[in-house]
Amino acid sequence: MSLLSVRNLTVRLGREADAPAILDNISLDVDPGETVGLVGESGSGKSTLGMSVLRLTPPNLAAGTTGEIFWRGEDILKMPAKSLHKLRGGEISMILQDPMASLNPVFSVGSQLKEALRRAGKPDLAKAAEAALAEVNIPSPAERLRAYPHQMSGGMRQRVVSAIGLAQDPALIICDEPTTALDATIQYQFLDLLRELQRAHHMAMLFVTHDFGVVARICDRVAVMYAGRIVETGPVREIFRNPQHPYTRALLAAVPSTSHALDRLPMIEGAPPSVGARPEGCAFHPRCPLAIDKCRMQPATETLRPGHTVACWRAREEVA
Amino acid sequence: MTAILSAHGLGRAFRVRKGHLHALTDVNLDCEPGRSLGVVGESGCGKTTLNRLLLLLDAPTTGEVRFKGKSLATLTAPERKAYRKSVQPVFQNPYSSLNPRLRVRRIIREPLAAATDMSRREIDARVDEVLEAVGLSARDGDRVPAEFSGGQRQRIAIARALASKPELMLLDEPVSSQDISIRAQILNVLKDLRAEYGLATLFVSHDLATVRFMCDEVIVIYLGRVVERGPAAKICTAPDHPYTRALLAAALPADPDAPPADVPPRGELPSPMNPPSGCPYHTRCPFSRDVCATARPPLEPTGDGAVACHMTHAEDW
Repeated sequence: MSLLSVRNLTVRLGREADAPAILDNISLDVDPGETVGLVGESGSGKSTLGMSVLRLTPPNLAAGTTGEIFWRGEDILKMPAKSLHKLRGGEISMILQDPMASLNPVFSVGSQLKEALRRAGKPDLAKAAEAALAEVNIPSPAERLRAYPHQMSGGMRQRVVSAIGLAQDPALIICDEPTTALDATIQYQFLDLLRELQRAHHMAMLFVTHDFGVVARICDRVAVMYAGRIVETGPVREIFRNPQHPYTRALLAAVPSTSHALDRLPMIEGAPPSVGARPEGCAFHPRCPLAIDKCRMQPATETLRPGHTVACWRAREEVA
Repeated sequence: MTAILSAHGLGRAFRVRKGHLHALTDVNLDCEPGRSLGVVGESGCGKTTLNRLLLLLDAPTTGEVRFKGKSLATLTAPERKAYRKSVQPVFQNPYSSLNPRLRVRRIIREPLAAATDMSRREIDARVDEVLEAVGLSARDGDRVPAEFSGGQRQRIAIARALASKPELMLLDEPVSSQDISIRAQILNVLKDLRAEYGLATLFVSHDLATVRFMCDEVIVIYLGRVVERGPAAKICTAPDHPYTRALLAAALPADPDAPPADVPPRGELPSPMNPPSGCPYHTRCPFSRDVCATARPPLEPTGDGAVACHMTHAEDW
């Protein structure tokens, strides 16, 4: 059984049935120990999906949420407040983009870490906190416990956030662009650390990012999002080697590479639609080089081979 | 070929409570017509200080910048005006670099009216021309920035820079806040414009893949010093300096089967307030030896570039 199973999740901007949908009929599974990447451009809904899992969306979105999100078989959307409170930061924790916003600037790193460890019921808090900082490779952990967030670098702060996230030994960690604010060399080291921690704790990860380099490095499976829908999912190798949705193909082609110089980058004309102005049918059709009349209707999500699904009228044609 | 803009031993130190912070030390570079020079480094390496010096927003404490052979420090007021017309910036964030209350036409027209003696009619014609050159239409001139997406706003910023017919564009991370599909559009526009107008560009970036696409030559800066320079093809595939190799490893390829990095990055940038002795990179360098902590290697020419590393001298390293 999947650890996390999202079924037909739709998130609208308000309760009305015709309110614009930020997420439209999303289904996604995360198995124990695996890393699933959610990749897409800004406004695709990938962060909203990450937030919805813990019901952290603002009230107007929460009111417009329909569908089911099963955690070990229990629907998070119907969970009583007390169980939800226990789940947040307990079995499911989060790492967000800006560690300075996640940490409280007026408390020392140690006191914030101990707060999480206390919830986990650790007996010797001082010792546990030191061990937690050591586990995320922070040098001289005993001293750093007394430091305040502003006294640390961005990379170190993000390590502290991870240590807090790991305090209660979660089974799933939702990472929302955790390395976007970091320099490339720091990002590299942080991704390595996340992989180590994941292995050591046997955690699953739901990893929201816009960067295909990060996806290639850290994910087992990927879901590509466009305008609130998942347009393609598959094992990471399959998505990179054999992308079927024209959007996935175009995005991958538009990423410059260090290894060869192109004269021009293949590009997608236009810009992603805003939430209120999404085209009918396949939302990508106005920008799609392969669009035909049929694309004005929403294509069903088809399974091309086990684990690889795509929502595109043309993809199936080409396979057939 | 004569450089439009060149830096000679350029340095900028800031006075701080405990002494001096050397943001930039002994930087030499040349911007030549039609060529694109990349400047690469992590945050805090001095990229922004360099940009400010080149834009006359700050003055160097050592060395000088020359515009067509003449030191910027000695420019007369009219010459400074001509300089600003010839050297135009495009900044990272088009949400903060465009005045939200002005129509696009006015955003582009204002610097033209200040820097040139063109007539109103000539200016209007030029505004239409540059809007079309960046893939927008003359009609877009009557709209305000809020009506445009991030990618379109960056095109407006490029159009504004282009309007005074500059010889050099200073591009400071112009695509790093943009989505992938938009990034490709902007980079292509910049490349086309460069070819069409024979523009020189200085392209500041932290991303080696973008630099490979945009630049002919690259300088790599670490803690305010140039540690390596060379053709983009070499810097982005087979660099010599261990720092450049770490940067290259950190530029994650969009390929799940990419071979593991030979020199993975490690450690963090030391405080520029208290830079390491000897080679500034020795605290993070996997090849570091005793000599690296005591003597700073000079930037020495290699085949087609230059590198500042002791390792390049020792056969047995």
